[in-house]
Amino acid sequence: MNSGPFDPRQLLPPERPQDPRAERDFCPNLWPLCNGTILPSMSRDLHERRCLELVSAYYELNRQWALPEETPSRSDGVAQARRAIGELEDRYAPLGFYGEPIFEDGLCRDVGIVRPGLPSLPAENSSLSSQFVIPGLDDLPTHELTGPPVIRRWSHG
Amino acid sequence: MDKYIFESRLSPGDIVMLTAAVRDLHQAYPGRFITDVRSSCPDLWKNNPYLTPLESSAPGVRSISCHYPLIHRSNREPYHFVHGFIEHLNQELGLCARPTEFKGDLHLSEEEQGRPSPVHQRLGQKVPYWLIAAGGKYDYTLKWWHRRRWQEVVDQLEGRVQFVQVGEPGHYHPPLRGVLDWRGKTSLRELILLVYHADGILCPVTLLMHLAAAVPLPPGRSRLRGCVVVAGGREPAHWEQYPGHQFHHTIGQLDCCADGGCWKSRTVALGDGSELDRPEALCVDVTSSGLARCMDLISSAEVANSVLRSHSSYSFKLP
Repeated sequence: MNSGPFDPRQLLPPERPQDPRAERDFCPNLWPLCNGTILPSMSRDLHERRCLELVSAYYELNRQWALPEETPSRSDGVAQARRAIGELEDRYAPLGFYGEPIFEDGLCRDVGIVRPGLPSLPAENSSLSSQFVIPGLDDLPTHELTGPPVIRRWSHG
Repeated sequence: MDKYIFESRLSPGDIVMLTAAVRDLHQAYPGRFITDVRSSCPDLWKNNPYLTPLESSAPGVRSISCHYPLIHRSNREPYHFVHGFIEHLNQELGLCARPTEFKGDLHLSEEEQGRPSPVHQRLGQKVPYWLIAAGGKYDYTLKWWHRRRWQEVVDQLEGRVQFVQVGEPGHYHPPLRGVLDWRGKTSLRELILLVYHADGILCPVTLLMHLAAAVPLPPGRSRLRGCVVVAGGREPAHWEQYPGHQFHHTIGQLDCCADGGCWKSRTVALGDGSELDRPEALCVDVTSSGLARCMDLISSAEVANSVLRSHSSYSFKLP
């Protein structure tokens, strides 16, 4: 692993990720879904832009895979596309960003990507009681009981 | 007899430690208490002999919200997590119970113990295996090791150790190659049964580490269940490590964990609006690859070696 300092900018996706759908030779049947839906081409949301990068990388894998088997560059192209996916997931690994591809007949048809939810305490799940416990609630200052929500967590992980 | 309901909605690993406190309370004061619990993880309390159903509204029943404030002294004082909840109960109830065992207190029914392992059921043959959790929740991301390191361990042990990857859906558990993929396929109770039959466990500081100690050993197994923990410098080793576990930590090896765990939350800010993104909750020494330096210092080779040592020392004795 590298030992230099960390640059948080590496976690920022490009402002306008390259979208293969804008290219002339785009093949719609090779474009994977993302969590079962078609990604928008433009988004201000950082997570969606990362998704677009990753789905585009899987599209490139599909494109290489779909080349005729006798194409000399096919094998290298597939390997290169796989490397690119791995590098993208390495880059965003500190955020826990990765894709779970669903393949059919060798082609990636969908990429499952977890969007982390806001950390929360586990859901009340006990069958033993209807009592709802919120540890630390009594410590909240009165002025925080109304107005904009403030997120708190009392566990220590 | 005093009647208490112990309440906690903390994470499952924490609740495993609460099971220890309930056991220790009854061991120290047999017959003095009737106890019940309200927790986020009923599966951890199944078959527990120390529980009696209590209604919180019934006369004479008192509810106690359980915590472990001892954690705030964990860097300075010689305590393990197993002391955490019982010390709090001692303070709340004016008692002096002490830990009686170095583990949580989980119980399997005879029927559960008699079942073949879930892996055996799935594969149709008895296959020795290690559980691996190669990630974790999105709250304390500082506990994460790099996904490629986990893969390197699996690759280095190919043909010698069969890994079964587990992990909760919605958490960060990137898929590994060369493992049985059981991510998202188990309830908590099924995970406990997987632990029961596992040769060993490889994980960061997480629930599985507590289960490795707390889940009983199968009959005839003479040695402690192997557990290799990739821990780094977040938490003091003496607070988390169990007997027989190989705990890879960096306390005392870096300025940021020079004399104890840093107790930071995240390696980098996730931008999810959580207070865990606060600057004071973030790692202060992150490598260019985005891994906390304390985790970066732990190599896949040393972790693989630890697994092998535990694996080869595993033995059965005829009952």
